[in-house]
Amino acid sequence: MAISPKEVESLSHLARIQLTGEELSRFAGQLGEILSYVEKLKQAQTEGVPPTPHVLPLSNVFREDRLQPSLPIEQALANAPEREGPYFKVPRVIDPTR
Amino acid sequence: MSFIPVIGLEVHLQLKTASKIFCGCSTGFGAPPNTQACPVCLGLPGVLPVLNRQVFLYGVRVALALGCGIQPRIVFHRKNYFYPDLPKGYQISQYDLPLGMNGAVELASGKRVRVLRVHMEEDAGKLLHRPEGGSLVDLNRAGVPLLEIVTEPDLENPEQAYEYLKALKGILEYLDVSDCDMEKGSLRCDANISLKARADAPLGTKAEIKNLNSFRSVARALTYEIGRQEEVLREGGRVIQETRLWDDVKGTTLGMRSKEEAHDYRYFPEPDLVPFAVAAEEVEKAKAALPELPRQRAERFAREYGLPPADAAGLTSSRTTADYYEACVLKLPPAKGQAGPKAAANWILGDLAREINERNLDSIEQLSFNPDRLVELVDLIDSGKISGKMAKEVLTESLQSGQSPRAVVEAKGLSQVTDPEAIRSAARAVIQEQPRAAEDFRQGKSSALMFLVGQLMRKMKGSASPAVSQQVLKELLEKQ
Amino acid sequence: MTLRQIQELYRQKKSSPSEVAEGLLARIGQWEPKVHAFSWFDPESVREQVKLLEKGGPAADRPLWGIPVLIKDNICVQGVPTTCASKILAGFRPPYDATVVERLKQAGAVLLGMANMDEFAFGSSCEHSCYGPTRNPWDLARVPGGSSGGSAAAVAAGMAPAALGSDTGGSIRQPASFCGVVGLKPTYGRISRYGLIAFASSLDQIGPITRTVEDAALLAQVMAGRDPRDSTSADVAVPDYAGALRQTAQGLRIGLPKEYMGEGVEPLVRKAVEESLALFKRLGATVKEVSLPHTEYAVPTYYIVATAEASSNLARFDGVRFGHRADGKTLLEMYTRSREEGFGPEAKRRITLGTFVLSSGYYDAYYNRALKVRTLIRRDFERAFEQVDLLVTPTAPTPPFKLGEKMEDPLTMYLSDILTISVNLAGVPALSMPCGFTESGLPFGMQLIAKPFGEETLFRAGGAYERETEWHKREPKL
Repeated sequence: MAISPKEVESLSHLARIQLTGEELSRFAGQLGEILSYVEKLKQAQTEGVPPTPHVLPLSNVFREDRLQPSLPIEQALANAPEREGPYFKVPRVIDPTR
Repeated sequence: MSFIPVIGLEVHLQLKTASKIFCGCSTGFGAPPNTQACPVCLGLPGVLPVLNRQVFLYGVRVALALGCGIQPRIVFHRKNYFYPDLPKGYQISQYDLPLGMNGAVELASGKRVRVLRVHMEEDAGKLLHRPEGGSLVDLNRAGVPLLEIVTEPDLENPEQAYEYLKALKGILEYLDVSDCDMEKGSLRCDANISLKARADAPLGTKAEIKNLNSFRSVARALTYEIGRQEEVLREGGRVIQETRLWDDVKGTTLGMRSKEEAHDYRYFPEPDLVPFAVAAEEVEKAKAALPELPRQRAERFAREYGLPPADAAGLTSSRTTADYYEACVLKLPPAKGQAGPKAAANWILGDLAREINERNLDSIEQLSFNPDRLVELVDLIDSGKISGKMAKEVLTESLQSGQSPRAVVEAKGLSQVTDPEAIRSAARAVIQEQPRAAEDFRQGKSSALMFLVGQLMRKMKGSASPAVSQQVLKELLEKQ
Repeated sequence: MTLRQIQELYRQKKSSPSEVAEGLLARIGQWEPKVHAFSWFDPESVREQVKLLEKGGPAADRPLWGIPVLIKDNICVQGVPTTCASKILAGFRPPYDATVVERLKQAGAVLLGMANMDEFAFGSSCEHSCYGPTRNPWDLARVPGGSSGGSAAAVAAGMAPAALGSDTGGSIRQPASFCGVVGLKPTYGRISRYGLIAFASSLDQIGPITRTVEDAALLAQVMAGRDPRDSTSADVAVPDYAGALRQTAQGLRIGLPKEYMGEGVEPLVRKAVEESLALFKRLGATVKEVSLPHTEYAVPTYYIVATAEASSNLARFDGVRFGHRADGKTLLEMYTRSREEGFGPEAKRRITLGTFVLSSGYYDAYYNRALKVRTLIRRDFERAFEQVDLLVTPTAPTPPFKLGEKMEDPLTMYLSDILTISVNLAGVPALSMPCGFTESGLPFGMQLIAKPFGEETLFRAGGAYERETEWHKREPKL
């Protein structure tokens, strides 16, 4: 299945990676090859076969509603690339719908 | 042409568990920023979620109370998108296998609003936008447990939407799973609204309204939006599917004309969490354990205590009020039949409600006038010790001084005079002072008697029992 | 020296943790400049740990007292740079230990350092690291395998008696094969993933890389068991793995899946596996041919499921709370530049592919279909284990290839994972151990596969084979 550099560009936007023009064409080629290869899966007989999202037959794993210590704020922010007081800081956000 | 509104509501409810949905951090409100965070809710590399059992139990409780069926297989999904208040770059939520489906809420007006689904998810953190640029991220709220309750688009007008929210809040409060406080953000509502030309027309394009901070705002925003969409359609335009923000100050909605295409959330089953199920017997047990819900309680109040439906509804609109009322009824002497319960109801719905309002309190519990005291007050009136009018003064004084009604009555010597002898001399004086009224009465004017009773009450500074006063005057007048 | 030998020396008081540590440090001084197995190494940290351990002294409940273990760079060690060999995690020091690290520490182990790897475990050669490649100690012009290349190379070169790796599609077993050492991928859910920086959540497992099967059993014993912090960690009791080693291969029913001995596997490797099976027969095992008919779908299934999960797991690397942040006037710029600068090409490729297969319109055709084929693959193994106790296969189709040989074409690299990938999809345990050398002295391994929670069978069979062979005693020369 072929995939165009333009499609790769929309994917890269969804994934928030700014690919270069060169990367866009290279990936389009490589991903196209990989996708052609995975087309093979169409040959498998999957009629009536349930998907396996979880390989272990586990269910109902819980934790009790008890408090555990949170991180001291200095540790929580220790790896922050940019901070302002007790906050993480980021460049301005455009979408105020939240 | 007029249009028919089609409205659906999405409510997000913060659950009042001690700890977050997937980690042991506190869910407490108002802590200093980023002090209620751990590697899990910070979304650090390598961490994993584990579901808080209480969140699941509360979810089941709510789903059942709303008449939903609990799904046989309950699965969490990842909803993938980027935002600074979303640490992992995905929200753990539910997609096509939610906790509960297909319930309904019946409104007092009889309207039935179908609940499509109830599901569990984690809340995001908070962003503070700096006017000079930049935003600050506080992740205390990230991971707080949420229930999302979505209706079918069954609501037909803003008033119904308001009613639904009140009814829903009533039920949720009864279940004691959340503070249900829109101002504190523990209850949030988004609305979806479209218009159609006729009842049998297909659905129009809907707009999503956000930033609604109170039930009133919901109603106001919907009213505005109906008007806006009507205008667009009348002018031959098309309603755009978009998110619109409600501006409470301006009273308008503002469209977010952003370049963003519709989000592709790429939902897939959360591999870090296992599926969940509730055995049929457990579901039955949970159903049986549900508290009596507002509507049922109101019906029972009307039946057992002989209350008019409106009063029963008023008493049960809040769980604390209903509990208060029943505590009173249980303490009242049963000999009085339904008079006692009726009186208690009137006091609660009337004077006590007013006191609560004037003092800006949130509930009857916060009034320093417990059920014992109300029962005392009713008893004082009933036994003739004080008049109804005096009782109002006693209430005010009791609230102010903190003394019990009985103590107030004694301290102020407010006892109502019911002894006919005590009233007789004053009565004679009144008849002497009011010869014309006395003569009018003898001539057959019964209103003159009420006038004389009034005069007698004045003379006795309100301490005379109206009934006895009337009786005494009548006797004296008829004798002469 | 093996872990067991060191334990014995300590027990007999013939050596001490500081002596063992200094010996390793010297060895590291010799080999590391050539092999480049470490992504982080601080001799002083080793010396400090050893000092503290010696002060406390050995104890019965500290079976790994004084044993140095190398940790793969994607397993969180508190306060230590844990970077997944990626620029995007440059400088990241986790404020917490992975559960396995906690358990190792509690058992008295010494954390030797962090091992180089393919970035975010995306790779089978250890060439995709931001720190540069690790080289195979048996031939420095060749790859050690990946993604746990640093861990395997260090153990092979004698720089560490044991190391931790992680395995999503073969990342412990294939480097173990290429480096002539033992690598175990446990049953999915056997060992906690808490603290393992996730690649594909439904496939990842942490496991030991050691010189002998016995050592692997010792480490597995300490690390295995339910972890309340990992919802996918199984509540299954951990049996006595060392005890399993004492059993013989008598009566063991072995299956050879015919799909694993096809043309793609080099004749030399096939021959060695056949000879190993002959050895097992001599030890009293029975061998029959079995079939895992859906093997041909394993690679495409894996690359859909794994990249889909990876694309989501790597979304948290956004420059907001940790890791590399590029300048940006807007939030969008910050995101896209940070991730462009921070991720290597293979990471970007897999994230893009994963985003594609999950995207609207493609989910059913790719991701959901792959999950269904996964069921078919799992059932293949279930059926096979109704007939036999153990499957034996080659681990990799070839001995170690040369650096740069497979870098041009990602698909070629992916196809070389064919023999290990199904195991992760089915969630079953598998162990790779050396079973031969090429004429030029390059090692290669065979893979033992058991049913879920059947690690005992792996140790039993591996131990029996090891007792009869000497592959594990060979050492590379500088």
